[in-house]
Amino acid sequence: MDYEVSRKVWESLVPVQFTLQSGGPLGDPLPYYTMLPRFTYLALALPKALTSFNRREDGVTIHLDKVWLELNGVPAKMYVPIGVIYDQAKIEAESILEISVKTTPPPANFQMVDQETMKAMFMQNIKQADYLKTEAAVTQAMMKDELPQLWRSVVNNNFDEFWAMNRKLMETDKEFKYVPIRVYPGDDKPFKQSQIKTKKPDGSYITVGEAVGELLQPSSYSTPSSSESSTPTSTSECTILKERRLISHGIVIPYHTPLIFAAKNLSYPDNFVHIVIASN
Amino acid sequence: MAEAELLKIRLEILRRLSMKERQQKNVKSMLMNYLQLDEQLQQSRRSRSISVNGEASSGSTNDQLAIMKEEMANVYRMKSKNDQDLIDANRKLADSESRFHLVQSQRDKLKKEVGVMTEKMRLLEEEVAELKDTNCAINNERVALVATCSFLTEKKKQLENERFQLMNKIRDLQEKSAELMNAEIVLQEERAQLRIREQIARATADLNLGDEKAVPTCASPDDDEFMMTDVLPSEVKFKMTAHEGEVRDVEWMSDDMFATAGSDAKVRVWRVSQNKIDASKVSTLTGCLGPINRLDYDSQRQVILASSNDKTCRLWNVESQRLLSTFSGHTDKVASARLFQSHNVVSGSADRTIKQWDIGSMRCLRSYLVGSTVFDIVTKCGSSQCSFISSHFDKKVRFWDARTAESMHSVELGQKVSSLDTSLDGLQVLASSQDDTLSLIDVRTYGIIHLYSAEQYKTSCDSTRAIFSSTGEFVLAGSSNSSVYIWNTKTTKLEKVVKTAREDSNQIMSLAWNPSGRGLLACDRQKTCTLWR
Repeated sequence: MDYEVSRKVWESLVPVQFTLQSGGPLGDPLPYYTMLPRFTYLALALPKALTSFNRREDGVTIHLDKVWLELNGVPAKMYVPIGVIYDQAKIEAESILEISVKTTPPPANFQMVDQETMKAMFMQNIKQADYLKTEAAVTQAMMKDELPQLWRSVVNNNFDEFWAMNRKLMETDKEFKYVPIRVYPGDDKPFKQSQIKTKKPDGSYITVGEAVGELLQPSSYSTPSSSESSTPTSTSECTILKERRLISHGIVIPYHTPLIFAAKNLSYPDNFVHIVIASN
Repeated sequence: MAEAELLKIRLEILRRLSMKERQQKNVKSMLMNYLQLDEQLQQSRRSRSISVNGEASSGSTNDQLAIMKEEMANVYRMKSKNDQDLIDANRKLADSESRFHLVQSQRDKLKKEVGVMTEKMRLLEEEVAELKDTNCAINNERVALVATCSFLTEKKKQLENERFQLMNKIRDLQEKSAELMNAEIVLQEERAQLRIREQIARATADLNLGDEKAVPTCASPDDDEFMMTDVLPSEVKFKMTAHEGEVRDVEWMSDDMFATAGSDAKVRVWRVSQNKIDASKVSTLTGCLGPINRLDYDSQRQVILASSNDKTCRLWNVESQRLLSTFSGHTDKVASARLFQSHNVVSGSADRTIKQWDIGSMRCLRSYLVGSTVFDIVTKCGSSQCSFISSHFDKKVRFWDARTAESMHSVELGQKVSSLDTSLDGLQVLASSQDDTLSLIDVRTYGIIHLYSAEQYKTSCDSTRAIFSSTGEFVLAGSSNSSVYIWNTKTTKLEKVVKTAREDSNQIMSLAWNPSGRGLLACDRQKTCTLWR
């Protein structure tokens, strides 16, 4: 583990604004502003925002199960880390992530996630990641209370407690069989995930650019720029490098970063490397 | 080469992360300040507003701090006050609880008392009911008693009427009794006069016969019935049982009749047979309630007087065997009683008094306070009919005149004087004292004429008797060894000692010499009466 990189990644924050749009007779209260860690979830942040809104004595109490969240006109995914949502928002630097809290009936594609559900999803992600890395050997050997401990350290923003347990998942006896990585293409499409090894057949490390290129290969064929390349391998790589930026934790990851390094130091607490594809 | 490249990549990533952090620094600080302001707004409860001016916010904060300090002071003051109130309230609560417990205990006690009182009330109500029932019953009884009372009142009136009638009858009967008594007295006097005439006639005849037979009598000693001198007894004619106990006194009533007095409270009258070999009982005079001590006989009136230990003297008529009078007033046994004058009785008692009684009214005429126990009394002495002599425990013989309350004279002997006897002419008195001597005293000069004693002569009881013979020729006394000692009156010589046949140790208690001059009766403690001739 690279302590310095991990620490800076853990301490990254994003500005968020919650705006209540209930249309009450006395008007809506002022928005709620806060700085949230990148690794947290909207499922954890929403209760605090509602508490702030309910402080007004003359307003109607807003309950958690009566609201839904909207972001840029589409329902927000409450189970995705805030950092990933922020990277996908295509916003300029120094801008605030604006989330609308609505009290109208929610649309069909919105899924309310409370804290208990979020906890279960978090632990499921860790097990899935471990399955890719060690075929779930580490998580199966854990004590009953250790996975909930990871969740508690995420909720309480406790770096040392988290890494005291997460070290088992990152420093295994063998090399990772596959690397847990999810790539979020633009235009609000679902993320892509497949079995990506850490090394090439010739023994050299696979880079992040290569992994993303492998994950995005079908889309490369569909793009018009793919017909311009003369050599398939070198042409495809150069094309991606020219046209797209790999964003993770708010920064552009260099193409030639070894994938194993990214898996061990740039992962989110759920042990996945979330990379957002952004066009230039 | 790979290592160097990895380091380069790592440094690039760090650089980009730092650059990103610096870009967000302004927004971060702004939002952090916003959160603080929001918190302050919430605490101070003011309207929300976005304040950009830090100085204004700082000034407001200082004012708020001052206000808050003041509020805190007030709050602390209120807190201390509330704490004190709490302490007071707790104390009051404790007091109230203790008072509550006290009141509860008192209530429990009072409840118990109420229970007890209720029980008592129930019991008292039951008692009241019972008392009401009892009251009804008593009222019924009262009504019945009132009726009975009225009935008895009427009966009482009837009985009073009857009593009045009976009192009238009693008065009539008493008058009749008085008349009968008077008639009795008249008859007695007539009878006495007849007896005197007969005696005179018999004496005249005897004298004639005596004169004619005087010479033959001397020639023939067997025929001695008509000698007029005392003859010393020579043989025992008979012995008989006269009483069931001691025979305390014996008295000749005539030549052939005598009376005995015993400790069995009876007086018996006996008649000697013609041949002088026994005596038969004529009658028994009863009425006394204790042993009889002394007898006295009046031949003219045919009455016999007895003194008894039952504190009384009684008078009987011998022929009719009827109790005439009872003289009671002494407070101790009456030792002796004598017929006195013509209608009186003189009695001496162990209560140290001598009383004079009237026979007719049975009243005590006089009491003489002597101060010493009286043993014997004799009358018919001296030159006057008013004289009597008494013998006492204090060794004295007292001479009395019934007309004065004090004794005229007293003679002191050697020991207590147990018996007295007067001579035929009344001028001498014989006294027996416990020092085993007999004294002959002249009534006129109060001098001792003679002393009689013997070597074996012994007195052993207070009732030892000494008597004169019928003519006064001899004096004799009974001794403790069942012997009778006979002295010559003038010469004081011991003439004879008469002994009983068995030489028993019975005390001779009483003696009597036949008026005819021949015949001595001696009675002792063992019911026995002996006749010597």
